[in-house]
Amino acid sequence: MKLPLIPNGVKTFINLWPALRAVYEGIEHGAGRVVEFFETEKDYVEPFLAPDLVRYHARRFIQVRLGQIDVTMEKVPNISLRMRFKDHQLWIMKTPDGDLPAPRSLIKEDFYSQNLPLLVTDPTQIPSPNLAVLWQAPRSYNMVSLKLVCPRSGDMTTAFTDHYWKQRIPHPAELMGFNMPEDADAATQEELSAIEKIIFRKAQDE
Amino acid sequence: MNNGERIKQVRELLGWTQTELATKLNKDQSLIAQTEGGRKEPSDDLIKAVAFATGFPPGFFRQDGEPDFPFGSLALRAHASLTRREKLQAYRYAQIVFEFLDKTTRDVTHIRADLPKVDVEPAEAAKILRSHFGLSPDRPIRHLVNVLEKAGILLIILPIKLTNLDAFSLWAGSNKDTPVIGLAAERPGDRIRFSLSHELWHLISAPVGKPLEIERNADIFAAEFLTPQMGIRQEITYPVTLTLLAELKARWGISMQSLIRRAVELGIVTQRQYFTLMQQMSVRGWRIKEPVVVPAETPMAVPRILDKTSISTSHLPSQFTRNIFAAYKRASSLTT
Repeated sequence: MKLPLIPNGVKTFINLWPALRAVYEGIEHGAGRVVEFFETEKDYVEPFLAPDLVRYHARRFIQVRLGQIDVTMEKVPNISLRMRFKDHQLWIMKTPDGDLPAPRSLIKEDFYSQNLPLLVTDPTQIPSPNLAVLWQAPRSYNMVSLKLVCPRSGDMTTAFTDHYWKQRIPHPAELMGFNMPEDADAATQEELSAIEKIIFRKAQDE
Repeated sequence: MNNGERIKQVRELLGWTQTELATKLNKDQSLIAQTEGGRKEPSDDLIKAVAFATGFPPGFFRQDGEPDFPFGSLALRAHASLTRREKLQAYRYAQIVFEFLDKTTRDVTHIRADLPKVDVEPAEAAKILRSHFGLSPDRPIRHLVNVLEKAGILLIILPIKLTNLDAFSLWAGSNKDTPVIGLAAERPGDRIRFSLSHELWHLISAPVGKPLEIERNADIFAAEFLTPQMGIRQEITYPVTLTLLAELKARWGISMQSLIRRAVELGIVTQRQYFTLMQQMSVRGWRIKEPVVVPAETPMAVPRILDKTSISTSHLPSQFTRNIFAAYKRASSLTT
């Protein structure tokens, strides 16, 4: 019996790219609509309403894309964004500082904790881990930046969170012209290094 | 062109003032002014000194014959950031290259210029030109440089640092029958394509109106020529995101910013959405350096002509002719 293996971040990114791309576009589109909305209202960007508007528009955007990618949107209250893609559960959350937000519910605490088996016979045969897509926007909402995080644990009472890995999600335009492999395990070393280089490039938006 | 004008030609090419040249020659500026103005014949000693200072062989300054090379669309460039020195350098470089090609390639088969003159609105002219070149009315132009060279346009890459000038155009030659476009080196592919299309308007239309209006029309023409309404309208669809624009940039070979402008022109996005998209571009630093590389297209005609001619017999410094080759070579390897 061995400890279960957490899949590599870059490979996970490759496998999830179609969904991540739709999420990125959706969030960016949502942020754009927020700016337009508050400009029309001739008001400053309301920090409590804006995230909901982003989620609302992002959800609609992703729903339009559902025909192109095999994503299942989950029904969750408060315009929350959660989906399933290739056995992973993806929770899209706003973060004020780029870190996992403290869990405020048992559901999120559970999500962070992964609930992986303690020991497995084949370390590769484990359920795909839950992943958080964190999005951040400045007060003006004139841009967004996204991160993909593999949470390890979270505690409601202490507001503590921990993760296995966390990496930037490049803007889809940065990957334009790059032939993203459909399956990370079939990717060549050159492809993996090229993607790694883009992901870990010091981005202007960070 | 007298000897004095030859001196002026080289001085302006090198971006020197009369005083700077005079200082290098240890002479008085008034002597340079008088010589360049044709009021004084340059002595052999002066020609030798100028040749030494500039690197051009004395034979260059003793040439006669005047290349018919007007200022063309450079005359319209009144942008404050474009210095007179930069403008003259670009002009002189293209003039010397043209003269050299004109003199040395008389035996080389020359493509007859095949450009119609139009007297219609820019958008309409773009449609006419697409049809004239046998291009689809609604698809991206794959290799614009190729299309223009086939039409007999001489594309001269300027291997000098030009920060505020992308291109200029003119009809050169004694019969004003050779269309020429001077193109600044080391520009991204999408920018080159827009500049070439912009200059195409100057070549096919009569310069009527104020410079700003003429330039505006050239931009309208370029936008319609590269992204015809009939085709692009089906592809810039709501919601317009930066990702969609990046995809279209790769497909149409036109910058994301031009596509945003096109989207607002065609009423696909509102003014407000236009500002939002431009703002998003700006915070990412993409208004200065956009993502998605459009490969630079390389003109082939000039290097091909040069290959067939004997440069060693020319009156040009070898470094200058090497620079001509190098500019085309660099352009072909340029990908960003």
